[in-house]
Amino acid sequence: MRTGPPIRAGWLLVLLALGLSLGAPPSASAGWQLSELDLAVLDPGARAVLEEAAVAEARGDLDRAAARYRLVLHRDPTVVPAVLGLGRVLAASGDVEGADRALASLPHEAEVVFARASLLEESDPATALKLYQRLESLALGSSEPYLRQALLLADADPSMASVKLQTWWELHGGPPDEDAVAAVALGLKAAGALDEALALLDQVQATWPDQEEPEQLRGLRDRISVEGEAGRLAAGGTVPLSAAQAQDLAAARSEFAKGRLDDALAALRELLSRAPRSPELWATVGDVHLARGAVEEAERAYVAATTLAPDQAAYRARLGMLLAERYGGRRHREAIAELSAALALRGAWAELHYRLAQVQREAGRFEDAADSLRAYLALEPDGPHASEVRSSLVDLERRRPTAVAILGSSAPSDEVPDPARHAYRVARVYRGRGDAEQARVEASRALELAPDYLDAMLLLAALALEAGDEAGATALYQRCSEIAPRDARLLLTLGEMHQAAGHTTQAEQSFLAAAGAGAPEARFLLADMAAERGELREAQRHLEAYFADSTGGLAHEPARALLERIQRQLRMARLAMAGAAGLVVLLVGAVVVRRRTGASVRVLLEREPASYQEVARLLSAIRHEVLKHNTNLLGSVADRLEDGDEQAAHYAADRLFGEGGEIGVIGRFEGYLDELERVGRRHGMRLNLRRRDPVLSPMNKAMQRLRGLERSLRRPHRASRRLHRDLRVLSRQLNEVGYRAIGRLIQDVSVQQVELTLLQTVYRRVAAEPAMDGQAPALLELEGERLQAPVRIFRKDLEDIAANLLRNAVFALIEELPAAERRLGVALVEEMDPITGLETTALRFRDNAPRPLTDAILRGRRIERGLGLAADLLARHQGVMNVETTPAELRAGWTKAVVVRLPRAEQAEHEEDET
Amino acid sequence: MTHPHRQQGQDSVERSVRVLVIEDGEEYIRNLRRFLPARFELVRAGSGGEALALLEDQLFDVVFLDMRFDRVPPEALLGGLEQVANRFNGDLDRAQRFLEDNQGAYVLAALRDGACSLPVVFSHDFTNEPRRWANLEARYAPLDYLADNAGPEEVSERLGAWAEGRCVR
Repeated sequence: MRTGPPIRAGWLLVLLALGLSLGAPPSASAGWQLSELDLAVLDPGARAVLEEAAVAEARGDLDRAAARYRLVLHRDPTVVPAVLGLGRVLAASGDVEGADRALASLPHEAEVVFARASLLEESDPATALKLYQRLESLALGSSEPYLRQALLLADADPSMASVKLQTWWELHGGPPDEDAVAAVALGLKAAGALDEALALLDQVQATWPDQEEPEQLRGLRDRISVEGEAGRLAAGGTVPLSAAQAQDLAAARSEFAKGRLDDALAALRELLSRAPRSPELWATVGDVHLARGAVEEAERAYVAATTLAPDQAAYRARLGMLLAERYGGRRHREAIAELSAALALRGAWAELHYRLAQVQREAGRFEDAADSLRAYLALEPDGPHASEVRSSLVDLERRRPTAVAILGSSAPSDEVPDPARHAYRVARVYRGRGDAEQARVEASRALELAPDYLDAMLLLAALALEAGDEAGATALYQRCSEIAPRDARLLLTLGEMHQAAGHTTQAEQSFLAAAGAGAPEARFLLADMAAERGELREAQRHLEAYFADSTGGLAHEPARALLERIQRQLRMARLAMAGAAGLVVLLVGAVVVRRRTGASVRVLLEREPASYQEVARLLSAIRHEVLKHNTNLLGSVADRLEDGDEQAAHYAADRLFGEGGEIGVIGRFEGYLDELERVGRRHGMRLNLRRRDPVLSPMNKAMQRLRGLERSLRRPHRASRRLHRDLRVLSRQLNEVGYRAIGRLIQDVSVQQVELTLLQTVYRRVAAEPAMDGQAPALLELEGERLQAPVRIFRKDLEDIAANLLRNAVFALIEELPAAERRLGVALVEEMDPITGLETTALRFRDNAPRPLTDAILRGRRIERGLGLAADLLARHQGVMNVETTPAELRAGWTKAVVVRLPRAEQAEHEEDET
Repeated sequence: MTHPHRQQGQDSVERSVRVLVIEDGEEYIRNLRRFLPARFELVRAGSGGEALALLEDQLFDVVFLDMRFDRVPPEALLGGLEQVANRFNGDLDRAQRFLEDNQGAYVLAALRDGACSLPVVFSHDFTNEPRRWANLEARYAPLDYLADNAGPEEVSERLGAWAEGRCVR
């Protein structure tokens, strides 16, 4: 194995690890280091300044570090560590141009050229590429420049990237770089060179047969194979489904919707045998596999769909999300490629911009993530993620602050001589390098020169502690406390050491002293100790003092948790002290409170309108399955009993209370109440239907009274006359009052008036979207302006449906017609079904884009271009969408109308009379 | 108005009333047989097809018709499942639910198409659907409805009134 000559390995590792990009500050812990060789070539003055620069950089004081590096370079501009350091700190400060200029000053030093190339990879990849090419000769035999070139060329020139990667292998001699191989293979795949991509992956496998193929590469290999196979299928072109096949697909989807996944899959497989070149079919197969948890099969199906229909954004999005969500982050690169491709096809898909941003962020591509988030906001400034996106952008765009300028020297004493300070600084550098032994030597030297040098003593104590010498560390800390008895950090450390050693009294004393010296964290530690002893009030006092003095820090959350725990325990203690009677009182009170609180169904519908469908279904069920056929017999039962017909009572009893193990009507009613309460809980509300709901509570009471009559109804010959009266009263309560009250409850939900002015407003918003680029038709042709049709749908959903359909039409117009010919219109029509008498409100979205759109196409491409979203929203409100064109519309020059139909909302007769 | 399916020759107010009850279950037929006066003769049809077949052979005075038929097999639903599915973009499930929820209207349409002009009383509350009721009545009269909370007495009174020509809407 050959290795490269003088790129000093330490620098390379440092630079590669740091990744000289904006906002990636170096630090002592990240590994910047001055080697002995670096320091040896300098005169003592420059050496000292260089050390200062390194310390300042480690501390994050970038301005000072830059100034010190510049000072060195002013004396000698060829000092490589100073050039590298200046470049580093300028890049970390966000001054990429400055860093570039600094690094460009030594064009023939391999390390510097390498650093410059790394710096420019994102902002100026062409220059970075040239620099890496230069490094082929500047750093003869080094493998790294070839690897970097392969990564840079993976997308632009994947064939050349593959050549560079081969050279890297030959020079590197070790196992393959998984990411580099994946990047190049993806690039080859994207360029259509599937065979070359597979050959590359095969070569990796052949070269290292003993190594298990990384999952990322295995997945990529499978995908490329499937794409190749699908490509062969696509060679004959995609074949849309026939009408019968489309129906079969709809039937399979129906099985899927019902949760019968195996049946759906069987049907789809059978259909695939007849229609293997339908991308929508493959996509549906993928969906079913994914629902079954068969991720690999789902991926194969999605790949087939995208290969057959590479211009369908929806399929690429599905594949992208699968790669992002199901591989633990290992295939984020591919996921980003797919999602980006989907957005290239459908740039106004706001949700996808948001999802892509998440994946980019997880992959560490923060700049790209910020761009994606901005794109989302441009499309959906008031969208569901808008608030979160804005907050994320603030974080992503936050710049590293410059260090606070500290005026003057912070040295506590002028008695510390410079050599002692120097030795102390060197000791710190050695400690940062992990060389504890040398650090100890230098710190001891500092103490020899200045026996009361506190910083050096503390450093020695810390080194002793790290080495496990607790006794030695404690002795040193004691000596420190004699020198600086009011040093809070010292007292805190001492206290922790005493606590660890089990010396609780000394620990408390130290913590108390530390708290008095201004370390509020000591109060938390005291509280913790007191709580452990069971002295809750003392602990509470310490915590109150802590929160009075502290505004944050690591101890804040634990302190808050401790305070809550203590307060809870104190409350429980008070309860226990109040005694059993007090407990009973409290319990009773809790029950009373529970009975007297809780919301009604009406409040649920008002606050959570999304619950309407479920609530309406259950209330209708109460009317139809409890009242109808059942309690509406009560009056007649009373009459029959008066006539001596006892069998009527038996009949009613069986229906009301059940027979032969069957649950009766009252049980069913209670079951519906339980279901309604569950709906409330799902929407975050506790309902109190049995006691507080003005509609259901009286009905419940009536039902319970009815339950109380079971004995009488089952033995009517023993029943009193009162039974007849009770039955009539209950009949009225349930079948008249309750029945009507439920009906009003179902009806009284906000109804939207559909007017064309609303659509005009939505269109103006759509036309102004950035993706429209000002090309939407200026005029929205309206028909039916005078109509106002009430429908039961949330306003936001109606606007979303309209916006998606208008957007879809405008995109089609922009793609297919010159500006002067584009037409877009909406007509509002009221329709009536002659058989059922049901009325619907129809919105006809018309355009004259030439490409046809039919119901069959709508079914097959439901997700594309917002049509799928509109269809889903409509279905939620019992609406439906079709593509139609009337002869009149054709004569008027329209090529199609996407018709949205919603049931017309009615008002009860008495309400209409009142309005 | 002629009622070719109606019985002839009995003028007494208490004359027997033959009612065709069209429902997918048996709640109505059981309850009505239990509580209606004996003069009501009740015959049940479980679907629109059965009803049409019965009307070919038997005479009735009035039809009592449920609206919702969710217990008949899909193939027994009138209205054409595939045709209705076209309205719902090929969604057969939605089409089936629509036909089940409104099957009574389809049965009514089939009765009128079959030249049956008997009065039909719906067991469905149109109180909150006045426009729908007006549309149906305009097309399918003689037509009436009883709400879900109508007890056997009210049912008896209304059916009797229609059978005896006492009802005008």
